[in-house]
Amino acid sequence: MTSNPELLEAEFLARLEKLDILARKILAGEFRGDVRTRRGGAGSLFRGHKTYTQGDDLRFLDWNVYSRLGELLVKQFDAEENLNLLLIVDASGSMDFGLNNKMMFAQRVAAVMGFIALSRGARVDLAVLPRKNQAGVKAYFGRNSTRLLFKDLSEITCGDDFDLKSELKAVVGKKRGRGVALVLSDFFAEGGYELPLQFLRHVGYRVGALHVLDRQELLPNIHGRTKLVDIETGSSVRRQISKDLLNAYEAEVKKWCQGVEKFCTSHEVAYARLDTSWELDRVITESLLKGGVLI
Amino acid sequence: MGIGSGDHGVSSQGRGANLSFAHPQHLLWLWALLLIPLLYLIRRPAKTVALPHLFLWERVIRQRSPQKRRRVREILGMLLQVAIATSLIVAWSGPQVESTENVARPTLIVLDSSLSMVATVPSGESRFDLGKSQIRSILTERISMGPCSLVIANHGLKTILPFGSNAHEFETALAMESKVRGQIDVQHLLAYVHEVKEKYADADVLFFSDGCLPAADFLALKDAGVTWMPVVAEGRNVGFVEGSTQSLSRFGLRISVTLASFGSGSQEGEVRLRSGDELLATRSVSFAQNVEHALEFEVDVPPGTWLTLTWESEKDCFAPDNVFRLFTPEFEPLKVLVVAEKIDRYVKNALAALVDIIDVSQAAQTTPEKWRDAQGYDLTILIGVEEKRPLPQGRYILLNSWAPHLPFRKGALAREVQLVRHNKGGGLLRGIDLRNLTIKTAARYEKVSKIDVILEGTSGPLISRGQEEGVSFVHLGFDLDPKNSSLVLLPAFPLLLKDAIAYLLPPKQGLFAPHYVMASTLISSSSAQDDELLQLEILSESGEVDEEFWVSGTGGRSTFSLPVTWGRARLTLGERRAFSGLNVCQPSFSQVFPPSEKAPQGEERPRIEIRSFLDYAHWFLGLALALLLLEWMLFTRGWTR
Repeated sequence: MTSNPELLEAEFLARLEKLDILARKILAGEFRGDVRTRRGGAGSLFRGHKTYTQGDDLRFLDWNVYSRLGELLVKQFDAEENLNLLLIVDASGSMDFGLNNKMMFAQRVAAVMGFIALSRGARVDLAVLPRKNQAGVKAYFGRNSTRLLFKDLSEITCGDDFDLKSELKAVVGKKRGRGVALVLSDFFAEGGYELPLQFLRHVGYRVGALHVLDRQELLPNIHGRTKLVDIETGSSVRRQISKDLLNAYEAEVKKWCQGVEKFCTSHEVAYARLDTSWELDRVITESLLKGGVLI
Repeated sequence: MGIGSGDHGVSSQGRGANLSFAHPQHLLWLWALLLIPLLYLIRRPAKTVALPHLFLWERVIRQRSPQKRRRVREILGMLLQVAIATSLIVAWSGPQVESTENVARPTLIVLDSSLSMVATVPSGESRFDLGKSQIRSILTERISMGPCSLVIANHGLKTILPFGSNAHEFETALAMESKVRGQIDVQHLLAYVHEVKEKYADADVLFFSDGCLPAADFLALKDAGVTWMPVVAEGRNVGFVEGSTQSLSRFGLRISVTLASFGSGSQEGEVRLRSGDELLATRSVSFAQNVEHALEFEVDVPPGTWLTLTWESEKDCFAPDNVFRLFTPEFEPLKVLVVAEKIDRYVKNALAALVDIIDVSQAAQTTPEKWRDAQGYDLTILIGVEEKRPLPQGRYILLNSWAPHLPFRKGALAREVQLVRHNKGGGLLRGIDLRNLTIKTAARYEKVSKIDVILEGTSGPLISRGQEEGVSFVHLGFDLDPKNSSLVLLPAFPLLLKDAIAYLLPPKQGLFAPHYVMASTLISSSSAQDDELLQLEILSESGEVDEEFWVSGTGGRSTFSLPVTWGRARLTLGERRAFSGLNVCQPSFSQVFPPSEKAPQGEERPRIEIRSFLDYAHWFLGLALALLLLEWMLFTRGWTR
């Protein structure tokens, strides 16, 4: 796979700044950032009033309103805190596939997510799996590190298959920080995708699964007598690919994708299916926004 | 006439349903069907596709049909494809099954369009038009019985309509035919009929003709199963149907002709023989009934002269068969050997009078002891010779002579011989007044086998003739000495010798083709002799004799089979001679039948495809569609999943 230094066009990067990264919970950061959380608290951004109830902090009682209106109202604020974005990019052999290469597509999507996070002052951690082929987990701070992030992303090369869970354990075990974890993968993992995603949830990450699939995987254009060879394992199957078989396969792929999505939904993992043939605009507007990954 | 008319009674024979094809050449495409299993057998190399999600494919494949079931489906699919392709090719080839009911009685209608058919009948129509009218009158009935075909016959054959049942087409085709030309090529017609009969043995062949054909031709047509449908109207048609010539001497020629007639009413006329403008002979003939008239002319004409025989009658329609032209052949005078101790002067004078028959310069006399050594003589005259050994093959006049193995035995001398009976038809006693004939003594003769007794006395045959084992003879069983018999003193005695020699001469020369070779059948003409020998040689392309067949005693107007197939054949007729134990044919007629001219071939082969078939093309087309639907159901709709 060739590296792609021009991951994002300048015009498109400008549009990305208008978007925000989903974080339903206010996450604890190492330092204060400029990302507003939905949770009220000791922030500096006034959100509004609410009627006083027993147990509310008297420090936030608005005495001015009480003196004028005689009602006990409590002032509410949005907390401003740092966002920790962990980008986990699957660089297994299966990602090096497709008419529009899945790895290149994942690089671009990761770049988008990283750019947005860095633009908002968030910390971005990039973990490329399997680790043995890559540089390990690297952290990026501030908008100035965007170029570095893009450079590192463009240098990702695909390797062998690996055990996703053990790799994640190794990465997250070192980090222990909480935030948002976005996994960019085709989820053709050897040991399955369920446990790794559950593990991320378990250690406190708000998890987003970006399911990268190529059109050739969804609607393969194969006919006639064919030898199907697995890229990662090398095992093969000879078979006459008929229209019937193709239809059955498409149904199976659809069923499998629905299984992945169902799992994510049931385990509070934001899910977005990404087709490598889509333009990035469509990825953001249709998939990431609808999937709740971006707000 | 030698052929009957109006018998249409060919019985319908049951026939099994035979599948045939309108375009059998298309069946060659069936070989292309081999490609289908071949393509199945030749496994195309599988293209390799690398993909990351093989486990999904494996999951799908596991859910699908297992390998064995898949194999069965493959074979079933292949068989279905072969069956579909086969059905389509068979449908394309036009499969037809002959309908037994429809071809029960096919009819081949042959209309004579030879030149004689141009003659008009008293109503003003030509015979050809009359023939067309007669065909129209029977057409409806015939088409109801089975398919009909129309053929026009003259010097060639032309199939106007192949077998079919469309009366309108017949009417149109008949109306368009108007050309009349040439004379009928009977050989060709026979070959045509033969081929039709080979395919449809129960086919009726109706020959609409005025009958102006030689009798032998009629005989051949009758033998081939052709029914003559006379094209007749008022008036009678008379024509020469047979003829032969026999050279009697250097200038003498005997012409025998037979006239036949058909039609209604009586007719009288004359047969006139002319040499140029000179009228040589005339015979009056009256046809009161349907009979044949045989006429004989004996004329003295130099060899190499054209003679014309004409039948002249005011009532007869003029036709080519009313005129017959012949060319007088050369006559080679005979070389005669006289065997006698002493020749009577009367006999010598009589022989000297036959200078136009006998080559006097080549004649010789010898003694009874030495004559067997003499060779190269056409005729031997034995006078008063008692032979101890049988005569060698040859021609003999036995004057008071005898030899063993002749068909009569000689007894003791009898006295006071009285004439008992004589045979006028024999010809030998022409001009002899038997009242002046006296015979005092004669040897007793007893007939052993068949001989032709011309004059019989109390002592047995006095004058007789016959043939026995290659020996032709005329026998006078009494001493010709004037003291014993007055025969030699009679002025007609040389005439008797002349007639005796004429009898011993080679057979008559037929004026019409004497025989026909039709496939494996040989038909002899009425002029064929009972005792003649027929030799048939099958020749190779280089002209060498491949096979040889001998038939003796063919007789007139008879048919017999020979293992003859179409090919180059030479037919030789003649007198049988034994030579060193082998048969030798002294030819009197020889004809070569080349295969290319007489065998049925080319465009004039009969178009005998009877179209009254049940067409099964749409059945096979339907079958192909049904199979196609089945395959679609099985494999596309997933019935076999």
